[in-house]
Amino acid sequence: MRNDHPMNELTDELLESLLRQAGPRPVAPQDIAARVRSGVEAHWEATVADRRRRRLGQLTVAVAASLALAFLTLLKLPPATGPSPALTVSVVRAAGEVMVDGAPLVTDTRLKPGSRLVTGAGRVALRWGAELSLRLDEETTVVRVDDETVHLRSGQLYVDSGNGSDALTIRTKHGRVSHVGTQYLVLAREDRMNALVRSGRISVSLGQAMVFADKGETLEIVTGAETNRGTVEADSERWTWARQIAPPFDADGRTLAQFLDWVARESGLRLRFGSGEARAIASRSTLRGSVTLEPMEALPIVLETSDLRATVTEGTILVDKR
Amino acid sequence: MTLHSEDRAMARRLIRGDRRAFDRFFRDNFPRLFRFAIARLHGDEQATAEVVLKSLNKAISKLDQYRGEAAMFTWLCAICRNDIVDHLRAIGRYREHIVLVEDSPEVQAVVDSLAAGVSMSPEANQNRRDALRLIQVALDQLPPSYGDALEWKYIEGFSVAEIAERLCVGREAAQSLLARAKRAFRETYSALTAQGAETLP
Repeated sequence: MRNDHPMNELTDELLESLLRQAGPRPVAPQDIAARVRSGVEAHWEATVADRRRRRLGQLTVAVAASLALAFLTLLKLPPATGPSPALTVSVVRAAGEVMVDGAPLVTDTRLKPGSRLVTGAGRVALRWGAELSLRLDEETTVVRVDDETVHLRSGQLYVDSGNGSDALTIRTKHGRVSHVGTQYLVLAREDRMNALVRSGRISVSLGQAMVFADKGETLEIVTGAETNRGTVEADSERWTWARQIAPPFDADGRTLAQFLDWVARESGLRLRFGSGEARAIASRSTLRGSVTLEPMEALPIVLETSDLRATVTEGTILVDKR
Repeated sequence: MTLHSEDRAMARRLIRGDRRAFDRFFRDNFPRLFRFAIARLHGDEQATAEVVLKSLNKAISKLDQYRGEAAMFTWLCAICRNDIVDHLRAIGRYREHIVLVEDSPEVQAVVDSLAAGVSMSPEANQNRRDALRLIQVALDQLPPSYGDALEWKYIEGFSVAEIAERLCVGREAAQSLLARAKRAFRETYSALTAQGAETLP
């Protein structure tokens, strides 16, 4: 340190003068501070939960190893995949009270890494990248951690991976859920996590252990361990809220058959044609405009303009010629 | 070597999942780290937010490696500095990497300009602006309560009683804290100006 520097003779007057000239230190805008805090907090919570699960997992491994070394091969985690740099997460439909980073949701909102989305008495549908559809039920809080990770802090999150292979991991306090081409729902509460699989397959990482659930299965995880398995029908009422907030079907230029596939996928019903002629009509009929109604409400209205009719019975939409 | 035992304790509490520790960790470090980064990222708030988020998340992941050999904020700045370089490389602006006054060994000359008062020379005025920013950098190097107390008293004009209330301490404790803050500021500022970038976070 230099001894001849004027700072060594810092008087109150000089200090005051220097500080006044420098002025107050700049502060980060509130929305940015809130966004960064959400992202860091989500990461911290997940890291703490991971450490706890790892400790539990290490104990499990130690016990298991004494019983059967082969068991260890089942405990490998899948390799981490790198996020794509420019992935867009946007709001495609919202109803009721929804907040983003503490402010009311506005049209065309895009979620940046760290953004926190909170629904009160409202629901919201997101487009995550090119293919994934995410929907939040009422009283749900999620944070976009990065391009491939969403932290479900509480509430219910429905995922439809569409026809694509985009990766997504849902972090909860009790485990991480990933999918393999599927429709599923994750419910996070303080004391447990539930996962319901409507189609396809999911994996749930519990520290170093991993469990799977297939179409029609439910899982309940309490404090990092699987406790219950059950069943759920594809057209169960458990999916109703997700259907109600489904993104609008962009019908313009698409066929009636594509519309019927959408209705079937969103409602969890099988689609059957009563005849080859009915199938041919659906395939060659082209639609115009956009369908904003719920799938099952839109079905009779759209078919009204065609030579087809639909009846719903025993989990099936039967489409036939009038 | 001075071990930063309070910061080590903070790291341990964060690892254990103590929410009050997280609140304090973020409140104490985010504003300062944001200022550290934005000065090096051409004032780009969005890029700064992304870099700081990345750095803080990285630090959270590596908390078990933090040994308290440097102050927590110094450690965070080291992580952030690397992330800033990565960001500038990614957007092809690494060659424009900003060299700040506090990163320069010639910083003393700049500081000396403070004593010269306002000048009409553009170069001298730039030096003066740099030197004034250095004061803010020095404030950020202090424990957060020191920097805040000095700012409240000398910039915003709060009384000692008001500062005591803000810090939730008695009047005498606030007075004593202000005295320590002034001493720490003088030492930090002198070290900053005398040693240049090598010792800076």
